[in-house]
Amino acid sequence: MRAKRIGSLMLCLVLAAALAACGPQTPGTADPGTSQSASDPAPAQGVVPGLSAENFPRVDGSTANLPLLAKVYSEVCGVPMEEAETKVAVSGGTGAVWRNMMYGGADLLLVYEAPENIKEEMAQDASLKLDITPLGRDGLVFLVNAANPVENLTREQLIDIYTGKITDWGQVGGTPGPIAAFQRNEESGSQTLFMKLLMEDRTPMDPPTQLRPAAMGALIDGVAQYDGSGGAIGYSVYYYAQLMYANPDLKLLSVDGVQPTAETIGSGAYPLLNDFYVVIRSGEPEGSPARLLRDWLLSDTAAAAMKAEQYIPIQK
Amino acid sequence: MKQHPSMVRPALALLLGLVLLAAGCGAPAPGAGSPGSTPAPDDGLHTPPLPGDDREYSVYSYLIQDSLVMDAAGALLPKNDTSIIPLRMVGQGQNALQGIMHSRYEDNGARDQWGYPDLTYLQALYAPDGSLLADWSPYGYKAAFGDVFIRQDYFHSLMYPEDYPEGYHTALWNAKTGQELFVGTQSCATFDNGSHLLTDIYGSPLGIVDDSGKALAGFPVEQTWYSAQVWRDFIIVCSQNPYDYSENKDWESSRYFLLDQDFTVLTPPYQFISVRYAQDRSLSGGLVVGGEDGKCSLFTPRDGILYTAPDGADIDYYDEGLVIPRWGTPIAYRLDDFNGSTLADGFISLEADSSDGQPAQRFLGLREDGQILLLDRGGQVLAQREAPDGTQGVGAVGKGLYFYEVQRGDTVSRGLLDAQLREVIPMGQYDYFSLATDWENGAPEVHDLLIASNYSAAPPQIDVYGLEGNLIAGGLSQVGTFGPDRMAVIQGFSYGLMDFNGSWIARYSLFDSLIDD
Repeated sequence: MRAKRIGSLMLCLVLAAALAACGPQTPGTADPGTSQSASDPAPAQGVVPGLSAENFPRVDGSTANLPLLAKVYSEVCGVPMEEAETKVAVSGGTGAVWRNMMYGGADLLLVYEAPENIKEEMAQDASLKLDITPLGRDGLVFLVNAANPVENLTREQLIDIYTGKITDWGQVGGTPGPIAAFQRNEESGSQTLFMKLLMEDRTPMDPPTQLRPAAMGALIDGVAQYDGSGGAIGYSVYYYAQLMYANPDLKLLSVDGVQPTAETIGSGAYPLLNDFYVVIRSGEPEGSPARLLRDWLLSDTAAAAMKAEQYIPIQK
Repeated sequence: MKQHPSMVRPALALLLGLVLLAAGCGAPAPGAGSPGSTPAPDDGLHTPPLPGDDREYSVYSYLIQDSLVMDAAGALLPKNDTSIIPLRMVGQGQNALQGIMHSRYEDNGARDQWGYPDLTYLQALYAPDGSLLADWSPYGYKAAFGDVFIRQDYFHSLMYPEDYPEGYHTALWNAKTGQELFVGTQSCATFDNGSHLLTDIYGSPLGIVDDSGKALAGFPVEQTWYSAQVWRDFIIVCSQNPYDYSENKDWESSRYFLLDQDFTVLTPPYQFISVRYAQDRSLSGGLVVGGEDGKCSLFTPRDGILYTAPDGADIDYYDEGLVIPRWGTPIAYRLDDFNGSTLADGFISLEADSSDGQPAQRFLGLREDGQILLLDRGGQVLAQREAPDGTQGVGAVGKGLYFYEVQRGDTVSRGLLDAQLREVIPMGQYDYFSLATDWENGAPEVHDLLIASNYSAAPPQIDVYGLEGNLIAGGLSQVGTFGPDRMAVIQGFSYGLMDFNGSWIARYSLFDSLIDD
């Protein structure tokens, strides 16, 4: 897909890079990050006047937005994606990222909604004033084993599963057998969304440890492999489940009859939607790197860059 | 399911690798290997591991908050809750592998008062040849000698003696016979002559045994000593229990002594006896001791005091004939010999190039007048250059490479120099240099690879160079295990194995193992 897009131009660049790579490189003669083959062409420099690699703000974000961080760095600093990937990092889960902003470790966040306990912490800090703007949209999606014949669940059925009222796949039109409902740890972004978008004020059942893996990948693997029986269900955000973590043994369920896709999430047809945000301190002065970057992120140019990386920008 | 777009570039990457190989222009660029979620052993770029390289290669990912583990061929090893802990002898032959302990925990569902899992830790013990010596049990093991280990009630997070619960049991234990010996043994260290000192949880000597477990001395030792260390054929002990926190304890009266294997005191009381260099440098039988007069000296059991540092000076380095004392504020250094002669003076930083564990043949100093000097053992200048403004220190990296360190504001930066003090890497890019080191066999094996790091960047920026300054792999955020011809690394959103030309042997997406969100 991507290889088709970059096509013959890319091949020329690769060959040129191969020729240029001959002979040893001497320190100080090239940026080490650029010394390797560039599989993506570098964008033109100067996308954001006044912003460059030298004054690029300290950006943190949710893990699912890490490729977006790299895309933004690539666009703004005019470097290939492969190099940009070496220049960006996130400080942890979504909770840790918000805390990083609280304690002055970041100037701009590309982040999902803060967990409730973090919101409470931030509310107690009277000096913390943040400018939080919706930037993109994602969906809370539910995953089951690809062999599970169930294709759709209603929100009510999902709530009943996670409150223990529905315990057997036979109750929702599937092959009879126990439902193993995975959850995430409380500070994870997807757990926050799960509580906000689906459970609201309901308390989910307390899962056994093996059904609350710390890692998103472990959850996805767990759902895909659980007992080999196809009896598991879990949840994630759409971008992560669909694009960042490929597992052919699972599938996404439609909810209330709507399949989660970029189109249904972008249009708002999918019912479990959530925005992610660009966050800066309210006191960022005009012309500061963080404010310059924030303003650019809200532009049509940035929206196109987001789409290129298969994120779903907020439709204006 | 689709893969993340930045991971989808197989055909072009393969083509690039083939072009580079066909052109014969040195190392294929990183990224030319096999991106994706599985190694590609048939793509023509795969480098089989060297025969006998059966180690695990791991690299820690802060994104995943865990180590990523591969075999030498680059195949991912399944996530294993079992830790593998080599048990190596302490003291003489200290790198000898005596056994291998496997450790794992079980979550039986119980929770402590804070809601965290109350885990049960289990261990199994294997001989170096892989044969099982003890099956899974709550016991823990430490190295002793031969078939004899220390077997003890295992507590996962015990650090200090006061943490040990009442009834804690530890003893020497013969893995072949199952016989338990010398109850209370917490540690075992071996003298140069092959006998073994047993100590309890406070480091108090219990006695000395031979290879058969026969008691040679002690059991009990008449006087109670603490914090015992074996050094050559001697024992260094302290007069006070360092874990006694009782009120009004007179810490100032604590003294150190050297004992022989009959527990006879050989020295006057010293304020300290340090083995900080004596274990791994070739000074024959020397220790740094602190006398009652506050002076720091070099001492050997055979010759007594060899050298005494100036008033108020500490000994920063010594070997079989030379000493670097350090004193004052701002700190001053000089190079002395055992005859009391000063060979070179006037340094604000002076470091011996002894990274190979042998007596230093070169000394790198930063003089008060801003000159960087490379000296020989006679204090003669081998090379000299002016230090950049703000240079605060110099040091040896190893393999004939040196660094200077500049601090400007909150930023520390290092520049790299060669043995002629020519600049190899200027300051401004890195804040740390080290040599790639293989720790597989217990003793470090240093490769001809320089790791240049900027840890103040987020993420850290790590580049690997050849010793001539040729870049091998750039833009790494983490390096892990170094084997004989390959290394475990993280670069951007990828991790895997790279060879020493910087080509991927196996490459995976970090997102395949992601922790959050």
